[in-house]
Amino acid sequence: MSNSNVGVIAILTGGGDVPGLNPAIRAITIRALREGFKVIGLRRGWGGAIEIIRDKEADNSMNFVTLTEEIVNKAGRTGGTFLHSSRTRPSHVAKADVPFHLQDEYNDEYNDLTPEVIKNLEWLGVDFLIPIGGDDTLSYGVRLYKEGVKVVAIPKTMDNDVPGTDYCIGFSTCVTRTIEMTNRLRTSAGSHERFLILEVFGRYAGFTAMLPTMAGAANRCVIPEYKFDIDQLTRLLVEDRAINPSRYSVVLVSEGAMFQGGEMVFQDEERDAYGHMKLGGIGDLLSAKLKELSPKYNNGRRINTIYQKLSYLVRSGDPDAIDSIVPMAFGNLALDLILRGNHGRLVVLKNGRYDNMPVDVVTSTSKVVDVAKHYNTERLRPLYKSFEMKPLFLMTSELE
Amino acid sequence: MKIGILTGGGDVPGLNPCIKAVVNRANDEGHEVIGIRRGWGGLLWYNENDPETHHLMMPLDKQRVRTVDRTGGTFLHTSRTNPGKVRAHEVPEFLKDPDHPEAEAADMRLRDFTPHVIHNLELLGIDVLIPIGGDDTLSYGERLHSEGVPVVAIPKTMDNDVYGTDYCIGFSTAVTRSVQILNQLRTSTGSHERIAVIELFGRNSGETSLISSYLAGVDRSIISEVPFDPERLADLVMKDKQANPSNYAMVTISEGAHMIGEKVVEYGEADAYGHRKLGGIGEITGQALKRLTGQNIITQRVAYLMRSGAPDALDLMVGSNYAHLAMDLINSKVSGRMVALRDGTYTHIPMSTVANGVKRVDVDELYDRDQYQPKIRTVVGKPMFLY
Repeated sequence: MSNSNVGVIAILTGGGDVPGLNPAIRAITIRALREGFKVIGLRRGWGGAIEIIRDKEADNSMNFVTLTEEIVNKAGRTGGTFLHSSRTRPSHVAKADVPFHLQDEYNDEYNDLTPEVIKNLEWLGVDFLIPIGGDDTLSYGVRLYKEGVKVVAIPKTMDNDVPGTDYCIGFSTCVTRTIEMTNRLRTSAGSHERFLILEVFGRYAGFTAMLPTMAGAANRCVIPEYKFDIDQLTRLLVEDRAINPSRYSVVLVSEGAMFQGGEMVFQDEERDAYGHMKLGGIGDLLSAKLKELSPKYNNGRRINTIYQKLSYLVRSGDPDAIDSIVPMAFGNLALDLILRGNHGRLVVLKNGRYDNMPVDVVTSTSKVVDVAKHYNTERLRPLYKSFEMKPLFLMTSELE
Repeated sequence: MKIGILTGGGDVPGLNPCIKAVVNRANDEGHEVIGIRRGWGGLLWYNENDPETHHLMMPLDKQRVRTVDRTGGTFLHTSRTNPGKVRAHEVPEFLKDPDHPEAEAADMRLRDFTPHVIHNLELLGIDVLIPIGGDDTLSYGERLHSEGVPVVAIPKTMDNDVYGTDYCIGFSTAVTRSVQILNQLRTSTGSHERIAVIELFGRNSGETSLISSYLAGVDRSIISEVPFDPERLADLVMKDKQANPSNYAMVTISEGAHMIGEKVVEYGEADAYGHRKLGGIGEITGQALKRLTGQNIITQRVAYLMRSGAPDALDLMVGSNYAHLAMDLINSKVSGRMVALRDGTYTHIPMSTVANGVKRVDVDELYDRDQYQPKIRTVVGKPMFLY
């Protein structure tokens, strides 16, 4: 199907939406078109890649779209992803989710549709594939790479937990929104002289709670990487509140945080195609516990709480400055690699500089807060001594 | 004259500009103003013999209030204390009976400390009180007025549910924030082609859900006043989703809403005015929609984000103008009144009106019970917020 001189590039966005995806799609498309490529946007993450019907007469408008400057310029300023997203994993498709036209051939309980994905990419004439996603989405990119598809991957997640890179698209807007909303809620917490408890997305990594706390948005934070002692937290928050002239204090709670002796709190039992259950609810439990324990550290007087789950509000809406700049750089880095005939790479920010890594780095380890280096377990907040020569996002880097 | 001012109940944006306008006007006209801290709690906990409690009375002048209008909340702080109904464990130490501590602690009846409050007002030389609050806070204002204390009340609540006035300070900012957040959530909902259920504060009034959905163009709006059928809602939102080129749909729901045949979702213990917290119906509705439609759902409680942060233009405007109305009444030595907006015009009404009814959405006029949507057509002659 290719009618271009130098080749065809396909882009897709998988996993949770974040601000910065549309600017990334825009950056890739504009550069690629100028270099003479044809650009195809696969819709709904890996979903579009399995549902394509290899027939020129078929309606594939829900599965892919040919991208033009006009399309990407309009979408490029907004949050989310105009290609839409999904958590589809083509190597692990439940019977009910197998596309209608493939149901005769694939009727196991779970099916590996990789052969179909490869045929679909060939049918589209795709020379290079640029998946934009977190470790789940990119782990399937690694799979395709091992099958011989030329893959250049771009990391995104608001959790900032993709191994190999200091930075994932969406993280900065998440931090920006968290700081902004926490500061806004101070008027309510102060007016009522309460504890303010905010639960933030972040899955198994504490970066989304750590960076805003370091930036002054909260007195304390609790993170998945260190099980906290509720008595210690209550005592600290009572002290923080007592020295605040406005008599309130603030704690940020990662959705994956755990009480000492406790486990992660999930919303329900349901698992996605990558085997993950939805976290959430620890903030509510923590809020009730703080209220209950507060008299013990506050001369017998109970302290009430304001509990707010920030949830989707940290990743909805338009990108901030960093999430407009980084996607521009990541998109162009991907094109630089492709133009050099290089593939099987993940574009990254490494120790403060743009770079690239072998794509299978995303499946090699898991990236979480290094508690020994960056978390003060006495004071339940970020630990930092010197900022000299540290990369911009400090604790998200692997620099020694 | 010496004016006492206080804020009670939930914080809203617009309280600080209102206090500032009272103080500026009063100072210009030669009156003194005392800020009573922590709502009615300040008058309960103030103890003439204990200097530790004297910070509860804050003398206010132009310098003190110069910058307060830039922020939301209330710099005087607030509480849900009702000095007419104090629970045993909330009685201040100095008001306890020293001779019978055990008998008193065992007595679970609510105590009335109104004589102590009136004593404090006399002691402080307060000639007139301006309580700013919702119907709970103002109900105690009415009590004091009936005991002979001159009171001029100012209505505030983000729910806009004080009976007798079209408008309460805080409502506009709550709607402004909700509309902004609803539109912001479109990127996440659309990117995943989901159905979003967004729960809004509003207690038993559906006005925040109705007006926010009307202004943000949300597909469906569930309000406290009309019990809903989840199956009907599921049908409607699936049609909305299919008709949307971006293949998503959004629903707002009042925290006080409930399904047909079900109860309102409440939790926690009752406050001094007998109210428990509402909330959770959004999550329950999300689960029902997921079961009925098979679609993935995004649920979000906007909660405190509706009433935090700086006031919008209308809450600056009404906050300041209510202050002037109150000062006009005080200068004319009129008391027992609540300042109000009625039929689009600034006015004042007897404070006792607040307890004479409940303010709810005019369902027949503004809501489509079958389509679960605002129904707004003829607006000629209606006030700005439509009723």
